[in-house]
Amino acid sequence: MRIAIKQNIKLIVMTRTITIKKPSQRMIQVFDSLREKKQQQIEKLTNKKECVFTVKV
Amino acid sequence: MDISFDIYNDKGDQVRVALSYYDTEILQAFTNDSLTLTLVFYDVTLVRISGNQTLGIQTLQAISDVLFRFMSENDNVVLCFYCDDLTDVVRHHKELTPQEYRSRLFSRMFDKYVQANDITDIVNYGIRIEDNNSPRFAHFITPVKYLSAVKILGEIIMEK
Repeated sequence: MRIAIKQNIKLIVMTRTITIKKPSQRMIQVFDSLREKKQQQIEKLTNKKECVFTVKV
Repeated sequence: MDISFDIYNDKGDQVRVALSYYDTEILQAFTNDSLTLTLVFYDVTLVRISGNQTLGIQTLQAISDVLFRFMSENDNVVLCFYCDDLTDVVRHHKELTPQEYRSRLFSRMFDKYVQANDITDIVNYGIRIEDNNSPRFAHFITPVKYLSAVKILGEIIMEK
């Protein structure tokens, strides 16, 4: 029981999530720039023929 | 330095993982905190190249392995995973939006990996914002020692 509680506490500590219900304009702009970066990356990766590094599972 | 990997299995699934750094000049616009400015933020992007089933555990573990190894080899790195709505994602939970599904899956992958590898010095700091009734998600994977610097940046950005 103690070991199980300890493991659960470890999980809670390692992931922390906050919710912002009324984000500032600046926060929205940051998220917009994250989205724009993501879009650029998706386009780049989709068009890329193959990667130098490969991992087979 | 940008880096990308292809992860594939013998079932025809292929996922491309890319790490691309954010220009630090963007950070300087928000803060002059010396610790924050030494951090290097990397965007994490995952693109499904082939396969139409949900990804298996081995593939998800391989993705986590790539990301954590990158962090262990680069001390001042903070990974940023923006959960986009730009493309759909194969999932059983159709009631979730693609972005929320990505957020939950990313956190789940992170939690499983740190638990399985007994990692206690890296944190998944997730931010959800309610923007026009459509939630948006971003995750920052950071060494615990840099969490305060990441939070400082978040607090500055949250100021109106």
